[in-house]
Amino acid sequence: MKRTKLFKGLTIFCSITMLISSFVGCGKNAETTEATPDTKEVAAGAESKVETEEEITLTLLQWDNIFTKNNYDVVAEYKKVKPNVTIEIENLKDTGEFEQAMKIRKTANQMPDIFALKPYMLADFGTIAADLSDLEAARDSIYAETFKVDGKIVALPTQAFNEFVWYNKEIFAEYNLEVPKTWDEFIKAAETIKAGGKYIPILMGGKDAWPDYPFNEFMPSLVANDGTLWNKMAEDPQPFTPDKPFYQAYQMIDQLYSAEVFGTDPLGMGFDQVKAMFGTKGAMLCAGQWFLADAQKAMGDKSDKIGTFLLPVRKDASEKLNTITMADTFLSTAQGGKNEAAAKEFINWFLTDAANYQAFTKAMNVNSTMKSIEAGVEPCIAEAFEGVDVNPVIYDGGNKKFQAIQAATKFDVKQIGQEMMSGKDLDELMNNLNKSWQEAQSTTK
Amino acid sequence: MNSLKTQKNVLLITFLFIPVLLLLVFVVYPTLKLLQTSFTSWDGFSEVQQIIGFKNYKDLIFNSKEIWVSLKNNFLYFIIHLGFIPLEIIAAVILNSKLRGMKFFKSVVFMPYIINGVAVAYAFSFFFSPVNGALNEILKMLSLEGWIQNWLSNPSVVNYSLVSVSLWRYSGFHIVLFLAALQSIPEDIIEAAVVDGANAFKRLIFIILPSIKIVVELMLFLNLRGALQVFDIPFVITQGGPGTASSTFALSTIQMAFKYKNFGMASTMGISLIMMIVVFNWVQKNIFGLKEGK
Repeated sequence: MKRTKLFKGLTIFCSITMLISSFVGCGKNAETTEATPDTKEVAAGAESKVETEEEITLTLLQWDNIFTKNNYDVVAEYKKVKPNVTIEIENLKDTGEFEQAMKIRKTANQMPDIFALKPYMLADFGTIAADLSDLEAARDSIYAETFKVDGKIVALPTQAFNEFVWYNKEIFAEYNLEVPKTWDEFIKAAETIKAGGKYIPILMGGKDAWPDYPFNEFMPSLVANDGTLWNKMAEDPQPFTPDKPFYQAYQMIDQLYSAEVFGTDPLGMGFDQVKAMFGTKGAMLCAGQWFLADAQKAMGDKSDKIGTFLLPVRKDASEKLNTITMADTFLSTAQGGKNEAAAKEFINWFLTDAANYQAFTKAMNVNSTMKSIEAGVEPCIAEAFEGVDVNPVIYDGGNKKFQAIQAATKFDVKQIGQEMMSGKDLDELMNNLNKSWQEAQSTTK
Repeated sequence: MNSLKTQKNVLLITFLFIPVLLLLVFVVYPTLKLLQTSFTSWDGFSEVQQIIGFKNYKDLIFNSKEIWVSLKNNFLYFIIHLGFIPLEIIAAVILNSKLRGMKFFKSVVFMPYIINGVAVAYAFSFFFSPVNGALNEILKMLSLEGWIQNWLSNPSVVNYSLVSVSLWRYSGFHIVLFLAALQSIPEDIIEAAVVDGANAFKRLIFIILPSIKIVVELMLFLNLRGALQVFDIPFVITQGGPGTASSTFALSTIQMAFKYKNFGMASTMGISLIMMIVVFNWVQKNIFGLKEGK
């Protein structure tokens, strides 16, 4: 009898404890959704201020601290002109993570107020972005028209940059080399350094796949003199045949890779490993304007010996030199978002406020995307353009159809670059690509 | 009595309510959702998920050469780890002996498993580096320059390099599990065998191995599951490269979803992975005679 009573007591105690804990759990949720008395007071306070200056918090989703680095902080800058607006930054490690986060938020209907986009993301997220055509910044933008989505300006680039071959002037002087003007001269210069046996002619970091992008991603557009080549390829059932620019570019790349000028094992090291070798163990490295800080770090007190030239993708020095110009980090806001108007106002301010925009471009060492605002770049970057008849090719990441075919065929130019470096036959690669491309094109709308 | 039964039921239901609810929400529902998505062509973005029947399953089996290459790489992890299980048992038997300093060796053996997997992978990418890489430097020191390879960039070598990292990381964990099983064997059985004149080999075959059968079974399952799901080591060290030479099934699944925006096919791969683990485990149990009652 005693045991039954004890059991009964224990049962009641446990049941009550479990139920209370469940209710407490649910209760907390209810509190967050219904708002605590404190929050209500704040909300009421804000409502009374609406007429004058409403307190607004704008969320900004970015990657790699692009708006908050190198002594530039967009939050502080905007606070100076709009004290009632707080920019809440959410940072993600890189563009890969950023894209995944955006997809998840889009599905969950929790888009940030402001977000940055890479050009290739415009096809996916441009369709849900608000129309920015009426902004002053859109009218003054050099690139806005080029990157319209469905005929509307939905995102504005905040930076433009070029791709360079970074080199150590001392090493070039040691081998009596001049800046190469044609593709053959470029390979010859690399072979001369290789023959010297002291330095790796071109640092690659091919283990990471992406560092071959100046060749495998951009060269087809440079050979075609067409930044929208991917879109044209999406309409072509066999874009990898020898008479097409893609094949011609890859033939040039194959010539370079076959010269084995990337050290003994270019696929054995990642970019982090090779970037530290720039200027000391390696003579050249192909990368964008963003590489400046890394180059300076690697060269240390010999930073004044850093030189740049444009990748000479041409057969004859008398031809114009096509060079990739990237318009990048497009600011955008979601259509019908809670703070759409305030977000638009922020985007407009960011690109038209000369003091702010110049501070940003200086911190990032990038070119201006605005007609009326100039951004000063480092002299070592400016020298790449001296005495060269340059033709900028504005790079387009590819439209929706291209991206659909790309996904269906698993077309990854950087991976193809790795395969080429590991000695895979070019014609075999191109034939396989033609087959899968044609098949995917017939099933893709 | 009836009231006691009711009280028992109330207590049972109260205790089980939350775990079952959590299981339903976080395990059963996502699995069913995964199964549902595997019959669609969802790109992870569109609001509409178009149902395409068994097309993904058909494509996975007949039109996905690169995924089969990935599976072949998984098989390499499986077979090499499997081959190491007898060695791990022998190592555990040695560590189980009452020799001096065994506690220290036990800790050392288990250490790699405690270290963060990504950190291990990152450290090994420097270990295999062609410039100043520790492995090549060791070979040079031993005057074995002829053995130097492109450890991470030669498609026919890279998978063996990666499997060696996996062995380094997981063997210690396996040894510790075997060790725990060995310590659970009553000493009097071993002593009786010694008295009966059984030598060390006979004791291993006829007493130790049958006594740790459950742990061996668990280990075979863990090995199979681990080999089919291997992800962090190839992801950090080579990202599946060069090309797709060192890609694995899990790596291909992630790429299918996030790089090629084919969540439908990625879900199909997820379901196939579950099925493969179940089927291969059943086959494995039969081959090694570990089925219940045998």
